[in-house]
Amino acid sequence: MYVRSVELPFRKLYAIDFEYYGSDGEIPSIVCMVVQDLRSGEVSRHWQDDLRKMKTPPFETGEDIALVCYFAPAEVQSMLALCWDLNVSVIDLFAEFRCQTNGDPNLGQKSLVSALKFNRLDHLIPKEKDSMRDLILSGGPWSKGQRVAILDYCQQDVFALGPLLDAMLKRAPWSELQLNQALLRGRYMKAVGAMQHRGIPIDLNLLDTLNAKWDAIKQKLIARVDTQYGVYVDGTFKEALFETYLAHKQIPWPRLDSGRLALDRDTFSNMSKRYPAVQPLHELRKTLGELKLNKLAVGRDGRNRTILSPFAAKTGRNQPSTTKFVFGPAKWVRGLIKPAEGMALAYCDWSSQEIAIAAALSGDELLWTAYESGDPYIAFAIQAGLAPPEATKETHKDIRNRCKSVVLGTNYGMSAYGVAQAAKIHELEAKALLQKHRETYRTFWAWAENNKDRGLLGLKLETCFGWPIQVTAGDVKANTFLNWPMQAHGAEMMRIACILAAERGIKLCAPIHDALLIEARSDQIDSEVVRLKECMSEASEAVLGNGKVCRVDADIVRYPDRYMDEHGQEMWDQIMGLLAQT
Amino acid sequence: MSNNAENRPRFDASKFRMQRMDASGPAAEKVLIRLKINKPHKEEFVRCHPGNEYRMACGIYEPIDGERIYLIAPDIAHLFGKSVKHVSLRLGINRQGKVFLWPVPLPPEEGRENQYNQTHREIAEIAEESWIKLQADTDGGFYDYYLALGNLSDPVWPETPFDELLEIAFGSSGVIEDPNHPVLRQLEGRD
Repeated sequence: MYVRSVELPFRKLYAIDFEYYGSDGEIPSIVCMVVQDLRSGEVSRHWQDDLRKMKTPPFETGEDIALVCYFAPAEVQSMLALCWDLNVSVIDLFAEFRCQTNGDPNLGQKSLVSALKFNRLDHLIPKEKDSMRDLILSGGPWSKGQRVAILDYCQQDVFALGPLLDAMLKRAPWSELQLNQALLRGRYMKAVGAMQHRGIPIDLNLLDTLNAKWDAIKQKLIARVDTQYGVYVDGTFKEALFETYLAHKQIPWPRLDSGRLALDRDTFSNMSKRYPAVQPLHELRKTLGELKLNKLAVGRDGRNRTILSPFAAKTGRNQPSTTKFVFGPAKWVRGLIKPAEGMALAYCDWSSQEIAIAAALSGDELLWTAYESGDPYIAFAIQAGLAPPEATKETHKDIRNRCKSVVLGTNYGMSAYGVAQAAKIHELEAKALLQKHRETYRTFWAWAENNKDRGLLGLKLETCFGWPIQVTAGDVKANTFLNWPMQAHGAEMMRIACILAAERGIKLCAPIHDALLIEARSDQIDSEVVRLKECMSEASEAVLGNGKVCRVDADIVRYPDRYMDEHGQEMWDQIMGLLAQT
Repeated sequence: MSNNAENRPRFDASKFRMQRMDASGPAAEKVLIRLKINKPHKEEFVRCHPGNEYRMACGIYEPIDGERIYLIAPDIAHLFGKSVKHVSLRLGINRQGKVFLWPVPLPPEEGRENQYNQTHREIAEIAEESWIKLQADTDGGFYDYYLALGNLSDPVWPETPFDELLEIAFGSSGVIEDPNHPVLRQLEGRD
């Protein structure tokens, strides 16, 4: 077991931190870097002028060299901005702190300061953090005194890293396996840094035009949709008018305890399923509410770059900003993604990833057979005796749709009411379908219920590669633990695929839940997709085990075409139509 | 990222893989603390455990208030006269997996049998193999049943021994062994 950082099996162990600034979407401008050799204690401080002249880092590199950082993507991005080699191992104490505390309801922030406090290293918390950060973000120029102050500030963070790693090891020493898992997370953080550096190509001209005309387009969009409702006045949604509309249409709308109409997104979403007449209004509100085009983090080079927030969710999934990341807002916005001239993009996703994980990890062979059939929904219908053995998607569309809602909903612990809403069926029928699912996939359910019990008992749940969750206090929903294994293993799969793809030189742009976006020259995209699919298959096999592999689908977009999500197409067409008239 | 990575070996998951998180076995198990004693509700589909180890011939008594059912010791059953019901207590289960003790009437030792009891018993036997719904035909004076038409899976029976299930259902206060038991005294008009 490794109890102290100096015992870790590396030829050199460096603590490192960069300071940088830059607008959202831009490649960061490096201000300075401080490195400390954790064994000798030797420190080297470098200002931006020196760094820019360096062709190689001022420290040794190689796989037997480890960098200790707090949130490594920032350091990786900085090194890439300096065109440095990244051939080093990474121990990211942010990722390790997340492992140390995931599920702890008393822990809000995930910052270095929080990690230091949690590990009783308060004396190492840098003073004047905010004012120094503001000074750095000002972009200079800095006086000689300010330069020294910034380097000192950077050095404070570096000096905290060694003791923090030691405190973590003291609290829970690492076995060889745990070290390997930490290094695996470090490899992912390198891939994240590379993706944040590369970004996603955006049609900058169109974005600028949309931004310039967005207010006018919004008004036209409201005018067009509102003709059916009459609930907007001067571009503002009026609750009283909506109440009149509902009374006129005799729609029983849910209310808050105060008696006012519930106007949140979920209520609109649920009600628009029951009353399709409300659907266009729901779409409009979503578009107007979510769309803050000017917040998309796009650099002057037309690349969408933002922090991908790895390990931010309890499941270990990324949680990038929903306004800065182009895959965050309403789906039509994805139409702004466009490969540059001569280039192409590929969006590759695992097919029914959560079902594959549920089947493989629970060991439910019947569920795996359903997954392997290529259509787990019709397979469930057949296995449960709801459709004849020869049934297909085409011959039994209706029962397939109902079964789909059940198969997808069960992973989330969806109630009969939820399934009934999603499948537009009676609650009793939904209840019977849910029971069929439980009876058909007994092994899966025993496994899922056991996970739920373990979680609720405050025991630790862990993925196959060591991402944990343990909730020993506070309120927790039982369904969190029902779904957590699928999501957390999905995140593991995505991380390994990113690692493999990045290390094999595939140009990754971003991970999107269970998908990866890559770019390549148009004449190379097909072969790059083959290589990426290999990475994704390998990653799925690593997680699912026993030679089980998750299928991968690919969607290629070549210049001058743009990326488009099928669910966003209609709104995109509408907005482009309005733009043309504006 | 390194560009000379084309020839990297496949990902070796064994270096990172940990034991399955459910390897330590179930974290909890369902414990029965109450068990109802009743014939199936007319709206619920049920099955009857086919095993001899999950049935017991006995006498039961249900006072007029209907609040609970008592198990009568064989040596004092005669004291209850016609108020005691001679039944085979069997284990039943509904579609939701809820188990119950199903008092199935025994055939009379002599004389003609009530049609309700006879059909009730016949239907319980059918329920050993099929999901059924027990319903009274009040005009005809017998029970009939509905057979579930769907392809329904067999129930998962509890592994709890029948003795323990009886203990859960009746407890110590639900068994009448003493001729001076308050329930018997009340029945005989002694209290």
